[in-house]
Amino acid sequence: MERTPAELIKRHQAGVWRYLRMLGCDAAMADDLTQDTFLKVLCRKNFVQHNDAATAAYLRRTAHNLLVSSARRSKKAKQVEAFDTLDEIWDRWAGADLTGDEAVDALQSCLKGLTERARLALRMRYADSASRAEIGEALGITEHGARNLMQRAKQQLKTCVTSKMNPR
Amino acid sequence: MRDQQNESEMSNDGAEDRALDAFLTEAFGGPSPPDLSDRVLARLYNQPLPTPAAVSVHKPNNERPRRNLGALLSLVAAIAAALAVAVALREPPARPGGPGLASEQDAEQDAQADDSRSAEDKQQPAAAATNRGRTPSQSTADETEATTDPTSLPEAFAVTPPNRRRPLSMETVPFGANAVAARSETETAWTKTPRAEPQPPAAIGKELELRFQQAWEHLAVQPTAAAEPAEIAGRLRERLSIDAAPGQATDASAIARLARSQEASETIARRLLVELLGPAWQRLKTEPRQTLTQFVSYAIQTGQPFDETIEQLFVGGNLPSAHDASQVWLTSLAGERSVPITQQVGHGLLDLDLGCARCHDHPIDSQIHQQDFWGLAAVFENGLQYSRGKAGEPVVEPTASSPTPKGLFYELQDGRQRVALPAMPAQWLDLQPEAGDAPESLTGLDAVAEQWRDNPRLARSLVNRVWSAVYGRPLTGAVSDPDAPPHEAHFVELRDYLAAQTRAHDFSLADLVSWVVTAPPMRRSVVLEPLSDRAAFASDEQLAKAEFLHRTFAGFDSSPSELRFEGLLSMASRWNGGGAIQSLPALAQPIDSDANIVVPQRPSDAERLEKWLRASFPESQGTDTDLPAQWLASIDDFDQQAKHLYYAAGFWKPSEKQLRAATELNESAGNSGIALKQLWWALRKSR
Repeated sequence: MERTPAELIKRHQAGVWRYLRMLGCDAAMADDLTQDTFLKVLCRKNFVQHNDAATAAYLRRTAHNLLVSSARRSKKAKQVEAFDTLDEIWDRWAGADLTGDEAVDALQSCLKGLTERARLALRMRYADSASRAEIGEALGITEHGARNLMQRAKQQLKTCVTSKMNPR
Repeated sequence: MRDQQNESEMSNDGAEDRALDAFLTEAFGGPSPPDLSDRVLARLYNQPLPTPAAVSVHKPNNERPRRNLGALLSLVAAIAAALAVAVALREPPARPGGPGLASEQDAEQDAQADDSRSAEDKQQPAAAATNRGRTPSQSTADETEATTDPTSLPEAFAVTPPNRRRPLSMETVPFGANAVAARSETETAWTKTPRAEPQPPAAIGKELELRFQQAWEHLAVQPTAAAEPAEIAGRLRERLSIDAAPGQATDASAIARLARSQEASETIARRLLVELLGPAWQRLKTEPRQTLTQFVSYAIQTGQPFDETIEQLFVGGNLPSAHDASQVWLTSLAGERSVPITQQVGHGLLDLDLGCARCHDHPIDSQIHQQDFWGLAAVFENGLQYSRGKAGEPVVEPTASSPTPKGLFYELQDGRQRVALPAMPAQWLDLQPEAGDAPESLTGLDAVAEQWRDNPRLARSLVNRVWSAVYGRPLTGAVSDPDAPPHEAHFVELRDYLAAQTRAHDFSLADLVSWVVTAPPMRRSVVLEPLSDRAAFASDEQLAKAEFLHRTFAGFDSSPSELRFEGLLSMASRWNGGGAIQSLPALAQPIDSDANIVVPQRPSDAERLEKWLRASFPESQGTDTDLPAQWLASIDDFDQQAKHLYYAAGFWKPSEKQLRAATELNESAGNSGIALKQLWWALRKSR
């Protein structure tokens, strides 16, 4: 089914934006590159919409290339993994709905399964941008202990999300 | 191996962690995907961008103090600008056309606004990036909205905001259509060197005789004896299917007439196309070869100017034959990308040594830059449409110039990436700008195709291609070609003279062929008969002399053609001791006295051919370790040297198999210099 430009953007913008975030862009840069990605693809004469999955992969490839070009232009070294590696990981996280919405829902659900301390540590880290030392101080553990706690919690979340996203 | 695996796993883990980080940030209430539809669509259709109020801005908490500071600065800048404009409005109006105070102050105001924008940009880069939807002045006005009524602002300030700044991208200046279109409008402002007066064939023959005598004297080379007319007629029949009587063999007018016969014109067309298409010709199947040959042959028979033929090959035409030939021509040259066509057009039609410039500026010819190579490639990339036919085969056709031409990315030698806009240097077509401010390059394929007509550079290239089709090498070769004739001023003058006469005679291919085949080299006897005993037992000195006579056209070169590169390589490997030669029984081995004595028979042609090839083969035991070309000495690595030899021979993209063959040759020869000479020997003999 051929989508109009407006439908195409609605359908895929969240996926492209989150993919760029996964590549390490901050929110502002993800906004910019998402716009550039759609403009570049929609301006291409030979752009064909085979299906949503193919279009999403094409958009991701374009976004990836734009990020690399942007880093080169600004002469900032930015390590970006090979596209295939990233795509494989993206597929695990957001392959089901192509946008990542389900992954965020699954993650929120999985967060409930963590201990209170682990959840607090992660909240401080990701919502308040607290340092490991600050987290350790708040929880009464060392900086090293805070790092271990968060690493274990993240591993637990990865396993939980993977099992929710890919049920056997 | 394990290290690579570990690295791969670490890389996966890093990306996986970043994915989790991004999702966790969002799950804990951080930035989430915004709705960018309106902004993208507005930019897509060039509509005014959505108002800032409609834009959702995501900013990390720690950026807030900076943002506030930026807002304060913006407010101050806006008040200052408003005051400046108010003062300007009190002044008397400027005289029409003169640089009045108001305009100066407008400029000053713009400068102030620029300054304020710069300050804002410096203070809040992230906020500036997220506020793409608003212009800086809009932003300033929005910040002051609470205290100042926007409608009360001076009209000039409120209505004509300066353009917003954006990072340069492929869609914007200088990569945008506007910059290119502005230049392409004046592309017709070119002049060519004026045409020479056409001379009769006898005068051209006399000029050729004179120039060759001068060249040979200058090079201190004694040409071989004159050949018999019957022998010359035989050569014309064998090489070009020109059925000339011995008495006609040196008569250019008669040859021109005979060259227009169907059989001769087809052979000439085929040999010329081999030169023009290079390796692309070898890849063509029989049917498309026939299509192209017929098209060029028809042009020879009817006397159609060859510059028109070339133009038709690039732009097609209404006639089915022109359309089909153009499609075959472009498809075989371009394949699926624009690089091969750039290199081959450079060599075949522009007589330029562009091979080097794909990866770096030409090390010897300072006129050839990598940027220009990719500029020409971009011309082809934008001017050609690459698609697939019904059977999945690539089809390349000319297409109308796009209003938004694309640039091509390429890499410098150090890995930095650059972009080249469509631009072919005018000097590559021997064009001179009419006015001093005329552009220095052509940007569209249609403009380039238009310039083939009566083009001096095309004429010059055509002389070399025809010369190469007849004598096996061009009259003046590329500097990187190890096999090129010596750079002799008389040859250069001769080439230019023939090119001028080609233009003067309306690019008549039959006429050009007649001058070339009646030139002095055709009337000289063969230096070393390839399949003769004399050639088989020639000394190194004799072979070197023969080679020099060939390179200076002081003796006819009748070496066998149609040799396959693979076969020659296999032969070279065998002669280096890697094959059947060493496995043969020694000749001095005692034989059974009762055995029948076999009377030696006259060697077969195949054996004679092998002997002939062996005679010119650089032996692995040889002491001469010079490289086939001096410029190869500037490259350290054997693989790179071998690759560059392939490039010089016209293999723009040597295959893995070809590169492996070079490596094996190096191993069997045991000396990289000799191996390179052997590789060049095989490449040269199989041309």
